[in-house]
Amino acid sequence: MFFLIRRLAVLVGTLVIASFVVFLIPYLTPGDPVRKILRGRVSDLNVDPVTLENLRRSYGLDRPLLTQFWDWLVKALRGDLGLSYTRRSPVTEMIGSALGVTTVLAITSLLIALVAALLFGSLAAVKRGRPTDTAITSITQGFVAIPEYWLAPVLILVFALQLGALPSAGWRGPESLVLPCLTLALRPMSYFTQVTRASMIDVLESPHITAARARGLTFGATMIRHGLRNALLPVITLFSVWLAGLLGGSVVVEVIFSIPGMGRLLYESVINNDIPTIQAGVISLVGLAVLITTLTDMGYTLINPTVRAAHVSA
Amino acid sequence: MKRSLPLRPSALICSALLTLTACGTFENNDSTAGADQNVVISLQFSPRSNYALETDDALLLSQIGCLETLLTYDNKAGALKPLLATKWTQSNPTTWDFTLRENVKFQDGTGLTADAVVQGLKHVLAVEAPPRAFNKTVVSSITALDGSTVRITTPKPSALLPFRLASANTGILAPAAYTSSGIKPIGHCTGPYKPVSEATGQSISMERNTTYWGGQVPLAKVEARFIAEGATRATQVQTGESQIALGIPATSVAALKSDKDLVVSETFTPRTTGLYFNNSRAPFNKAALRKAVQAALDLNAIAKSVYNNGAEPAIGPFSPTEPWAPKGMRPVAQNLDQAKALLAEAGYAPGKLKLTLLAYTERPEFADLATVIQANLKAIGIEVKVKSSDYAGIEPQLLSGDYDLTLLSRNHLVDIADPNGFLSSDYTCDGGFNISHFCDPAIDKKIASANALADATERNAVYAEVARYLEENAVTVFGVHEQTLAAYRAGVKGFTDDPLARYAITTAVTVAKQ
Repeated sequence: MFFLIRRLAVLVGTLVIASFVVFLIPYLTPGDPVRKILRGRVSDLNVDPVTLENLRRSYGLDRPLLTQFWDWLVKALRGDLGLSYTRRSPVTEMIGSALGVTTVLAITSLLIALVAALLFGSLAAVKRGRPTDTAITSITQGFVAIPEYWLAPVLILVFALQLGALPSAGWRGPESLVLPCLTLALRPMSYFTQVTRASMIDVLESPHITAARARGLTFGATMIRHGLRNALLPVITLFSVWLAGLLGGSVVVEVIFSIPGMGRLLYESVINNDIPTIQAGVISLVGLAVLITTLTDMGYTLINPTVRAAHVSA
Repeated sequence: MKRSLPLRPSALICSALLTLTACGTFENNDSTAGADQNVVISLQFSPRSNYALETDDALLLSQIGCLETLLTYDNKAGALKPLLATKWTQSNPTTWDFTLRENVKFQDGTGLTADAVVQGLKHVLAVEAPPRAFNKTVVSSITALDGSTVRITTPKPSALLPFRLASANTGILAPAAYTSSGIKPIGHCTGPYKPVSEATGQSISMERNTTYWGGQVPLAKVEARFIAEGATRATQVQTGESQIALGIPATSVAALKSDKDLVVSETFTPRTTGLYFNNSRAPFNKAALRKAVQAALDLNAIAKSVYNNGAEPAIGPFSPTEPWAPKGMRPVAQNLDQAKALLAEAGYAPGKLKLTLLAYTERPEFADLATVIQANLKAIGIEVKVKSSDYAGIEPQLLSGDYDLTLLSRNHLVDIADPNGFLSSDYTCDGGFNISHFCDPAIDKKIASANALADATERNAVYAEVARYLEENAVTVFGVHEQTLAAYRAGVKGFTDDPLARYAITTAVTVAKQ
């Protein structure tokens, strides 16, 4: 219980600090925020000074910074995160919609990565020191270095342009998930595979595996019941870290594949200086990241009794 | 004894994927690609301002065949043409009357009336940030004289008011479109295509407007996809997912041109990139030095290498195809000897002048352009340091005049299809965007006089004279006239890449059976 309360306090504190930092960003970067807002709406660089001042007053940007922050915070606590300066719709709706898309993208990618990693990581561990292990280890280490901005166009070139098998962009059904998910899954898959391999090697060398085999369990059953279960712990940690990261949206993948997720929303908001959307978006992501970390820690305590004991004694 | 696993991994993963797929919102519009008389177009910009007509969203609504204006500017003819208004007359120097076309219906079935037009135009005047094309500094009043005549008055004599009524910002929607929560274009346009559904930020789907005042509409369905990434738009038209793609990046042109099923169109835009000087202070208050820089630059090499031939060396602020471009002008050719002589005339020995060139990062080509300029100026003994930042970062310096040299890309028809607004804002003493900090009362007088000239030939002659002055005095070194690139499938007929970005899907666009 104390653990949960402490975690909640961390969540609230982090959100308040993050919101203030995010609030300051538009004022710390050079240029007039109101001019930036207008440039998000029209391509005309010439702006009427009267219009500028009207807009500044209309958005309350002529008030002291702390007053603006306090107003925003009070409204945010009531669940009102304001209207987008450019789209002029409630930012909560925009973020809800974008977050839904990114969640699908992130979890699907990570599940693909996880399944592949468990398979290849276990195989490499079982075949430790043999050519299969060397091949899996080398290839996954190579994959880590492949950037998304290179991989995405290559996948489009092969699967959309040459083979005509998959759509090159858009968000129009399960088939449009394939290429972006493969792009996003490659790097976590590589990390997961390496961690799975290392964990599995540790587990396979432990006495309880020998004992299980001695009790007559088949190799496969031993691997699944004792090996994978224990090896999963570090992979789950890594999964949650990646999940928190991917929920922030992958700007590169979402822009290249024209996916209306969080990455693209935040990217466009920054370009258009859409302060309410930037603030709400970053706060949501910080909140989600802290929440996921908390849930992971809780999951840890459920899986591993020694962690639970440590929390209790703390 | 063997114990079965409580959840098989495969079942777990499948159910997770199904659940995820169900909770994510996919756009479920059927693709219209490949079907007879249906077209998918990939656009570079998405609606960013909830279709507010005072913003660039109005251009988008016009591009997709939804929004129409009272008049239209025919780029080829260089003249205004009727659209929702059939006649426009200037009853006195500050009063214009527009006669509306009869039997025009909005897509919600209501009729186009003078009251509806007045309401629409007044809405644009009243918004918090009215467009430069149509605001209270250029319009005094809008009234309905009768059911089919709208009277608009101006604070000063203006021959250019009809051009303002050809700006997409003055597009007319049915009264029901103007709601307290913003503009609702679906079902409220007068154009040939009727928006029926929208996937926010992704696409908008349209159907033929069967009651269109302009007669039969050829395409049954149109889907406009908003794809920000240029290479992805190029891929869409290559794969056939789109039939038309706008804003093709120069890097994709070679691949597209090699595909016999595709057509690539290259059109001059009213956009000129130049090297802007701060004319108000030393060292560039000396014309000889400005001309030295002008003579040092190799514009041909810039157009070829930096722009991959997607631009032409500039002859001034306006490209040679525009009716207001001065006749007989040629780009200034690189002449290093002449440049060195001019540098000496300005009083600077080689190696004595050290300058900072500002370049903004929103235009990726500026990095290369700045490097070429740096090398060109080094050849005559001017040392240039390049400072890059986003535009917002350098704008305060540009506006306050705290700089020497900057790169700038300017669209000179961004408000109306006449360069008066551009010349007034950029090259008059009190201009709102006088980045050059150039001031010559004689030029101010000329530009102001053009505003009242009803005859387009006379007006264009004034603009040409000003353009010639700016080029010959090197007020700015106009570098290149930029081109816009579009690609479309060979089966598409009647498509024109509009240099003013107002039209894409028109009644002229058809697609052959595939």
